[in-house]
This record gives sequence, C-alpha cells and structure tokens, in this order.
Amino acid sequence: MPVPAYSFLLLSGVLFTMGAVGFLIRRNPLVVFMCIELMLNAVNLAFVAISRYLNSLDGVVFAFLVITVAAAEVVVGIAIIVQVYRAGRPMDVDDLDLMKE
Amino acid sequence: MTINISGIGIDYGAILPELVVAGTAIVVLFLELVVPPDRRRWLAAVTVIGLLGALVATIPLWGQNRSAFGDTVIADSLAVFFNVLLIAITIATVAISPRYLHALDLDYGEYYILILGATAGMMLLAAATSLMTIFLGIELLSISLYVLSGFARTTLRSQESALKYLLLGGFATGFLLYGMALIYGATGSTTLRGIAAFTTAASSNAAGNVLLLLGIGFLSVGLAFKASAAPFHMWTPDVYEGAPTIVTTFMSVATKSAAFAAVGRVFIATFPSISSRWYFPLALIAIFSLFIGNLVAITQDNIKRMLAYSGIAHAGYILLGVLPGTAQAFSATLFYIAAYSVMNFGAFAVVTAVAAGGEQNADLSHWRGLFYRRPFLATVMTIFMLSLAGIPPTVGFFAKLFVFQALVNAQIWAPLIVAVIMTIVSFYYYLRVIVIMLAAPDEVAVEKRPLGIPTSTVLGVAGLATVVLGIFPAVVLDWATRAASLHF
Repeated sequence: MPVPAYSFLLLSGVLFTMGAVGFLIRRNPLVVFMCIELMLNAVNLAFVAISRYLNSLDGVVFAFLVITVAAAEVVVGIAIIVQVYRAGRPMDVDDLDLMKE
Repeated sequence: MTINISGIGIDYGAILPELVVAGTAIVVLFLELVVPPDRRRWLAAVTVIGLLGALVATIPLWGQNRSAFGDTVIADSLAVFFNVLLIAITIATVAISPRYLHALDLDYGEYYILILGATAGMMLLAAATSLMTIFLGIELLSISLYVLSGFARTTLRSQESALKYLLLGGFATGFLLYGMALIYGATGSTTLRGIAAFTTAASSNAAGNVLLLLGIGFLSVGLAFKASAAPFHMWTPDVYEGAPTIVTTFMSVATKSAAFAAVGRVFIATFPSISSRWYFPLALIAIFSLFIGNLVAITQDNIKRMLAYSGIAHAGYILLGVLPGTAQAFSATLFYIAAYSVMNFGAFAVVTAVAAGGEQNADLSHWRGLFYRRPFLATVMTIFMLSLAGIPPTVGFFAKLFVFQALVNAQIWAPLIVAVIMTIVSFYYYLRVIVIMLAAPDEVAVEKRPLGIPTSTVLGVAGLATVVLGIFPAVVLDWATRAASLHF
C-alpha cells in the first residue's frame, strides 16, 4: 500500500519543528548549526514528497539545489565556528555577547 | 542570441551582467595567486574594471522583457535599475577598500572575490522570477557575507558577528525554504509566473488556501530577515557593529536593496490577487520596523549600532511603498531605495574613513569636535545625516515625500501617521551626531592622516548626489517609475 503524501508532509513538519526548537534551546554553536541542517533536510523531504505527489520534477531539482547550498554553508559555517573556538572562547552561544547595547 | 533547447530558453545575453561579475571573481581568484602581496591594490583595479564591464552589459537590457532559462530569470527594467544601483555601490565600496584594509592589516585578495560573489548573488536576486533563483541569489549573497563579516579573523567581535550572522541567517533560510516548499505544494509551480497563474485562476480559491498562505508567511519571514525589518532584525546591530566597517558599509545598502527587489517581485507582481491577505502582516512589519528602529536608535552610543537601527527604520519606510500594491507606489519604493543607498553608503563611508584609525573610533565619543579635526568628513557627514532625517533640500526628503504621497493616494492612514511621527523622532538621533561633531573638542589638532583620492572622490560624489538629487529628483523618479512596471 503506498504511503499517502500528507504523512510525508507531516513528518517533514515534525522534523522542521524539531530543528527550530533545537535552534532556540540548544547552546553549543555546533549543535545549533546541526539543528539548521535538520530544518533544511525537513524542507528537502517536503520538496521530494510534493514532487512525487504532483508528478513534477521541480521539487527534486529544488532539493538538489538545497543540498548543494547547504554543503557550501556547512563549509563556511564550520570554518567560522572553528575560528571562534581557536580564539579560546566558550562553545556557548549565550556567552558570545561582546556586543550589547 | 537565443538557443532553444526543448523550450527551456537558454539566453546568456539576459544574464550577461551576472556572468561578467562572476567571471571577474574567478579572474581575481587566479590573479590573487600571482600578484605580490604589496601590489594587492591591483586586484581592486581589476575588480572595478570587471564591474564597469558588467555595467556596460546591463544598460542595453533596459526596457526589455527577456524571460530566460525556463522563466527563472528575467532581464527587464527593474533588474537593470537594481543592477546599476548594485554595481555602483560595489564600485564605490571597492574604491574605498584598499586604504581601509591596509590600515587594519586585512589586505587579502579574497576580500574582492567575496564582494564580487555577493554582488553576483544580489544581481541574481534582483532578476529572479522563480523560487529557485530567489533562493540561490539569497544564499550566494549570504554565504559571501558570512565570510566577509568575519573577515577580520583575529578580532573577537568580527568572529562573533560572523557566527551570529551565520546561525541566524541559516535559521531564516530554513523558514524561507519551508515557505517555498509549501508554496510549491499549494500551487504546483516554482516559477513566479506559474504561481501567479494559479492564484489568479478563479477556481483555485487562493485567498482561502491555508498551505499557500502559510508558505507566503514563511517566505516573508526569510525576506524580512534579509531586509532587516523588525521583528526579524535581531542580528542587524551585532553584525553591523562587529563586522569590519567597510563590509558593514557594503551590506547595509546592497543587501537591503536586493531583498526589496525580491519583495516587489513576490508581493506586487505575483500575489496581487490576494493582497488583502498579505497587506496586514506587511503593514505590521513596517510599523514594527519604524517603532523599533527609530526608538532604539536614540539610545545608541556607537555610531555603527545607531546606523544599524536607523537602517531597520528605513526598511520600514521602504516597505510602506509596497503596501498599496501598485506599480506607481512601488516606484516610490524604488526611489527610496536609490536615495537610501546613496545617503546611507555615504554615512557608513565616513565611518569607514574615521575607523581606518582603529575600529574603536566608531564610538560617538570619538566624534566629538570632528568638525575641527576633519572638516571635510564632518561636512559630508552632516549632509548625509540631514538627508537620512529627511530634511530638504536633500534626496532623503523627497524619498519620504514620495512614499507618503503614495500612501495618501492609496488612503492608507495608520502606517502613514506612525511614519510621520517616527520621522520627527528620528531628527533627534541624526541631529545629535551633527551636534557632537560641532562640539568644542578637548584639544584642537587637525589630523594629518590624508583620505586618499578614491575615498575623497566617493564621499564627494555621494555628498553631491545627495544634494543635487534633492533639488532635481525628477530624473531618478522617472527611471524608478519606468522600472516599476513589473513583469514575471
């Protein structure tokens, strides 16, 4: 029996929410960054599911674009996080507060 | 030259300006390997030449309506308007860069490559007519700017601003993409033309389609983040303060301009038939931006933070022109964007020139008596401050006037009243800078650190343009009106 499209969308919604909540409550920059990746992958799942459901290829192409761009973002992101780490700063987003009004 | 491969419409001429900018980035990438470190100034020259080439490539596209690559990009007057604006901003940025980078020991070739990458992304965003190209444009500019904000690698503040921009930017990208996925699911199309066809079809009942409305909501969050409109502005003050001032100068005007090009294409051109659904949330974002930007700017003692909040307020004014949802009102928005670009670039360029003596100089206490130490810088800064406040005869006055006029014509009163009151509030913090610069200094000593010809020229031109366009706004308004006729 084929799995109906809305169950994929539901799963994607759950994953996206998990990512967004994790972004808001986790404090280690690496974990926060992983939560963003989770959100992007939830989007990919939605794109592919919708693409299959609508029988159009646009969503699959979009998912490939998202994967590529996410990879580029990870490269830059990890470099920035490592740079902050090497400066001897605590790995905690709440403690990165040199700039406050 | 159009080669049709199964109707995809490959047309390199339509994206030639973007290709030239991206090509210049690759050329600079290789030149960086062979140019000796003390000759990095040459890279700036090559960058400017490439940008001038892109400018030449973009002008012939004015007045055309060339949809290419399967409706994903378009070469029309709106794209040309933004291309010219963005290229001008980038040329001015690159012109004042070498001296600043040298002073702060940041003289690396990667800077120019990243600036060109960001510019190519912005130009793509201004020409994008598909959710895919909008996403690609936003990410190309964002990823370049993440690196640029952390470009002062060993400075803690710069690192911190890069990390904050990266994390919050990635979060916003997630929302943007989820919105795009929902819109795709609701309409079955990723091109703006296809989406508009769906929403205007009587059978679709687009105004009651929850999936579509949710998608538009998420998409708006992503775009509002890039335009730094409240309540999605939290990153702006920290990133603007921590990033090297030259990068702040660039992104404060260029990113905002490009984001509003996408806002225009999405809201005015694609979703006019359901304007009753997006009008209220957008009006709320505009009012929020006006309140938060103007009120918090009053309390700032760091000029970069003050200008960051002022930029949030200006995002509010610019968004007001989108509210009526007509091409005429959008022309006021375009005029505002052009005016904002000139005056805000100028203001940040002055901050850059002052900050070349050390980033701590962004503190307002350092600006005390600037009139006596750096008469030229203080004079042009006065012009930019008056213009940002909207005092005639500067271009900032007409920018506000045209937007307010558009609101009156559309009989949109509540946001208009807020905007007028907040404009009066803004006089305080803009004029405060002038008063501080005029205050008698502790010791009178004219600084002998010369500005250099490129910086003086850029500042002079920006100051002159602020005044001249304030006396003769008709030329730019005419261009803006012709560019505002939106196509897909």
